[in-house]
Amino acid sequence: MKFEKQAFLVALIGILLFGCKKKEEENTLANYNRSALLTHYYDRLIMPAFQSLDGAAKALENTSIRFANEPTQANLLQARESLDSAFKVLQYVHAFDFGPSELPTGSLTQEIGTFPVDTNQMEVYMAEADTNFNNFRRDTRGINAIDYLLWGKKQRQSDIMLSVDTNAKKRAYIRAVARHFSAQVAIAKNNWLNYKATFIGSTGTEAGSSIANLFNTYNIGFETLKNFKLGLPLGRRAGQSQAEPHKVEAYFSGKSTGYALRHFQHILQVWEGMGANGIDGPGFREYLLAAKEQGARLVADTEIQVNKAIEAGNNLPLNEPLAGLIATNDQRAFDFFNELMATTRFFKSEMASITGIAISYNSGDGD
Amino acid sequence: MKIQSIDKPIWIFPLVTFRVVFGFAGLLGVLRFWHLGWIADQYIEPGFHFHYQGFEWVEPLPASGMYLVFFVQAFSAIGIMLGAWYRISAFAYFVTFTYVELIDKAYYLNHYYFVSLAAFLLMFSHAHHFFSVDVWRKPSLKSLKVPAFEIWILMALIGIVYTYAGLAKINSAWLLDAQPLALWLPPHYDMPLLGSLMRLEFTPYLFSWAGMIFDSTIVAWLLWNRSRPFAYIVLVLFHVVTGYLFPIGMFPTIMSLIVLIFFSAKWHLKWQKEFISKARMCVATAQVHVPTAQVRVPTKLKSDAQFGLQIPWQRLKLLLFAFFLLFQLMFPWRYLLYPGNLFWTEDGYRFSWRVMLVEKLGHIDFYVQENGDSQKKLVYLNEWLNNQQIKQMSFQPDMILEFAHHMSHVFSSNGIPAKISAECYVTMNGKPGKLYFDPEMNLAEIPKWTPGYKWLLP
Repeated sequence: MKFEKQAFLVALIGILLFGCKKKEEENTLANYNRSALLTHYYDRLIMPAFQSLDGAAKALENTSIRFANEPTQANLLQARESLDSAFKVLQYVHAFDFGPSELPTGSLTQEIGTFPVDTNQMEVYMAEADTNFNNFRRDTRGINAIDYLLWGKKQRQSDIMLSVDTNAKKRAYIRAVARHFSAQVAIAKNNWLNYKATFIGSTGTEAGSSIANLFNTYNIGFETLKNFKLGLPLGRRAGQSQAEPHKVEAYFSGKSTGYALRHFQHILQVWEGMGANGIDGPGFREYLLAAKEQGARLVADTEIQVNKAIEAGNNLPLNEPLAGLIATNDQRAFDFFNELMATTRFFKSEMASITGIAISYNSGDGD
Repeated sequence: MKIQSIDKPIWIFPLVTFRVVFGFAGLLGVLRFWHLGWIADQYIEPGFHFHYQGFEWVEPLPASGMYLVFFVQAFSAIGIMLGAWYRISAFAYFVTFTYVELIDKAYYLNHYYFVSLAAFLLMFSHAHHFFSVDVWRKPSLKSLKVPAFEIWILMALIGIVYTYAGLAKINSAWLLDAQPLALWLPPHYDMPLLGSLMRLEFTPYLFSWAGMIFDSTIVAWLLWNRSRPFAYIVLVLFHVVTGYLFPIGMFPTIMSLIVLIFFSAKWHLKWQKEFISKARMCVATAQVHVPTAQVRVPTKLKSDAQFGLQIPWQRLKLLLFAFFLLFQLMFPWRYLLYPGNLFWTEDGYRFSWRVMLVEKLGHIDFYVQENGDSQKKLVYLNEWLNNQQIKQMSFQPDMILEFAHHMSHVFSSNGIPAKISAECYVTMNGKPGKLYFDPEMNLAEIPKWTPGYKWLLP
């Protein structure tokens, strides 16, 4: 009798604990394989993005140094081409600007992607032959500094070549900035290479977990696009009395429109879990869908808004400089910004609520 | 209950344990806060703080001053724990802790509020009259008894915390929809031991009901001699599990330690006695002369009425405690005076032991329209607030208003305040985000401290 009772209890507990598992093969938040999600992000999105950036940074370093050593037109054009390539691939690391991307003087995109650059201060450093970059003046180095050095303020190619040819300090600065850029990228890439086990092993959703880090940095990346690549030059920030078109990214080469759209594409790819080579896999979208009706509802709502933003983005003339669009009060630039504004809340608060991903970086306590 | 029985001297030992563990937890709390870099994150770096009504004058000190405050807090916690210069320590701890909490309500936590209240009560207690450095310094201080109300008021406060937290859980979302636990628990399917339980659909219901019953009745089980040990085990398990699942910081540690006050005087005396005899052995082997009277623990305890109500100060204290208790019983119900759903409006939400009751997040964009400007501009919140402040503000009307008023002032031109509007979407328990109030409204025109937030959308 006693044995029967115990057996019954064991069976009951067994059914309770494992019984439902067989029935529910579909993805739910209660069985979602977060490790697979992280592995996909790491293998298909993060590492390819850093490998590409690393390759582009090395190419930019080589071509810039070649141009500094030998300021010919061919070398200038080659360096500019490398710059364009580097700018393009740089757009795909914004959501991964945490953990291994944290460098002593800030995150990778802060260290090498700050804009607008302070050209006056750059000229001062150049004149002083100060190229150690051991300071927090991130607006005197990085890819936007190279943008200034290779393009100048609406200067002709011959003038740029001449100014480099006749100025040893400028040549030294170009070499130093290019080396610094490439070195910082290499550090981040190598950090990421060694971070795989840690990244994939942190499968929780609490503050500091890989998913929370990715989710929160993803949102910062989105805000960078909205607030700084668009809002600030558009003059949308409280306290600005007018538009400030020169505050766009890549102001001197004037290819900012395309870069902003790539940045947006990166945001969408991370949302989808779309790998660099077009391989779709688990992503935030799929994770949300695991949250049943609530998740499906949010995905639908989000995508309605995201599609509006995509449409607004597609309306932008890819080959016209963003600064020019802003200077001429082009409505298309405002529309894109406004649609991004309307998108924010879907990516942030609602998604965090439904998935239980911590919305903070360092866990402030709750109760 | 007769006045005499409230005043009746009872064994001091539970109060002594409370003092020791409270000081210990307090010290741990400061060290943790310091170590995590939160002094700078929360009190030095932000340029703006969210004030409490009536305490608008409380502002943080410059960096070195803030570190000094926490330094004093740590030392006074040690003072409480050891019973060293106890009155000064308890006073310093209460003042520094409460001061820090009053600086910014973005960091409000129920257990911080509890710590402030308990520290307030400890200032008036005789918790240092046994097992303390003060008794070692001044043996005449030693007393084995204290008036009953000094212990009972602490038990009552703990009782209110749990019971009110339990009562707050009696609502349809918590009990019938198992919200917010239905959102919070499933992602923890990989936790040790209980992981597989988290995969089941009924688990949030089980946890919701168990949580409600636990909070509402735990004090009764702790009061009853026969159930007490079992109740304490359940309580510790409860706090360990919730501490694992949710980011609630020091709360589980504090509660697990301080409820020891419910244990019998005999139980407390046992460990204190053992500690003293061990300490005496250490001291003896070190060949230091210690008068035996200071460490002797009598086997037979005598009654002591030196704290009776014939002393006017004791009468005054009793009155103070009675008022304190009445306030604690009444204040959490103030929300009944305000219109609307409490969880939505948060009007009367704080200081009421509503703990982890709702999954609520918001997204807010503030817009400034300066006088004479046709366009409204976006406030980049990160330039004004830290993440915790932004997160808390995004769904709390009083904070939204205070920040709006601040922005209006900052962007005033020629003495004319700027118009401030905001688009705010709030999501509760995973439901679609809803507009919190009219995005065209000028928030700067709404008076800051008026309760009954009629400007919110339903």
